Amino acid sequence: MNRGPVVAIAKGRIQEELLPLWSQAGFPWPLTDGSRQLWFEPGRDRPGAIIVRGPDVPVLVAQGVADLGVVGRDLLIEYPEWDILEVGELPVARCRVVLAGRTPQPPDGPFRVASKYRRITRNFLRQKQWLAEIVPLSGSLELAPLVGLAPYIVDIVETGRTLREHHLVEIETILFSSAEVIANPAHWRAKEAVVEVADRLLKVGKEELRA
Amino acid sequence: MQEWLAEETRRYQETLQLIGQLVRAGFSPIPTDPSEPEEPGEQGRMRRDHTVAIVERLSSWSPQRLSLPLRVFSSGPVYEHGRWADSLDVEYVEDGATQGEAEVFQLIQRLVESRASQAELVLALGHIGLLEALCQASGLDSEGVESVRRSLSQGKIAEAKRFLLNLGAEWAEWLCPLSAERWQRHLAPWLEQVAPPAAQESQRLYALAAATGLSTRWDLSLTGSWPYYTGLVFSLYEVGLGQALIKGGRFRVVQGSREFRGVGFTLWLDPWFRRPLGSAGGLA
Repeated sequence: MNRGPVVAIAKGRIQEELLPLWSQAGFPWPLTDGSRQLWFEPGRDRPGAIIVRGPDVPVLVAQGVADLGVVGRDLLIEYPEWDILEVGELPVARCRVVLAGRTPQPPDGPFRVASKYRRITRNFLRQKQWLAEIVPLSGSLELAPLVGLAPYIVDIVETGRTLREHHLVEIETILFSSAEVIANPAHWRAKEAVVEVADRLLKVGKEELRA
Repeated sequence: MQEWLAEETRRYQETLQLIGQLVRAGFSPIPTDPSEPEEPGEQGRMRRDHTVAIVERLSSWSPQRLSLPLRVFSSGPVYEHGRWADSLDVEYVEDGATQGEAEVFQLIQRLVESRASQAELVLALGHIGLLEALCQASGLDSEGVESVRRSLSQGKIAEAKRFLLNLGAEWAEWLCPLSAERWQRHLAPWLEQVAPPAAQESQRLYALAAATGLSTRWDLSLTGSWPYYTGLVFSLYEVGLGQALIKGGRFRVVQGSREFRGVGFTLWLDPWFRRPLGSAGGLA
């Protein structure tokens, strides 16, 4: 079945910061503020959208349910999907994944580190040749050092305010992240409208960056 | 459950008919190892591809016993990231000649026609040699060319474009699907100037692809994910399906001291059978 392009969008910060770009690209957003609806169909003047948790965006795109996706680079690295195309970067949801602790000194000797980014953390530890146990948490990582669960955390940081409020300091930046536009390879190469939607979003993204 | 069994039976029968078509076209089935050869110090794993397994079988014969061109195929699942997919892998092994593309495209055309679906199909063409010509003309050194190719093989088009953007925005614009018209009007004349052999090769391949009657477009970001691709790379898509029906290309595989060249493709059975049948209904 050939339908208009559908974009899977990571809910939360990416969705909020993408909406102005979506409008600038000339696409109406038919949902009202505060709506809890998680999808809308493509129309004549706009792509459709599916709003899902970030890690699910690459899955929907790889399976072809969505033609395009907008998701954080951090999640693309943490949850790699082999059959997607990374076609461009948007200047939204900019953040860093950092190692943080109570003091700025890097770890010395075996230690524990809490993170929701197990793959990124494991690769970072391997690269540094540090011996550590990764404590998997899904949120509120700043609490881990305070409650004695782990003296270090690997987490995303935007301004650093949350870290400061929990008396934590950055030790090292592991990676920079922002939203990426991803595409299903089959839809990308077989449906011209998919490339047009991505181009329009990426173009306004570039203009936003220049401004 | 009866419906599920009936559907699986239908797929099984259609698979047999596909295999029958390959045999009638002169391709011979060969058994292949479903696991990849173990590396020293590494555990064996299930195969991700048939081509190397096919070449491994062929290389057990002495060069004198191999009568080229050789038409072979292998069937069975391949494994990737914890998923498996049933597939047919077709290889036309030749001896330095360039006849393979014509024969393989004709075979694909016959396979497509046998399904009698009314859905629109798109044959996307990429080419490692053309991509490298483009990169070299942009001023990239060999390390940069290799970086572009590595990024594209991982699906990282934006990363590949960044290498070219440093040399001028116009270079990066070619790493996207191009209509036949845009290719002929804009890229082909430029290729004629900077890389005449590559331009002639692209015209030859485009003519072969267009002869299939399928909607054809070029996309130089299509490089395939296997390092053994050396020239043409192609994928066949049904518009709206979201998965490739066929992926293939011209390969060069080194097995020990021997080298095997040819053109081949993998046909993915699950998306192939998910294609809706047209009013002709079923297999022609």
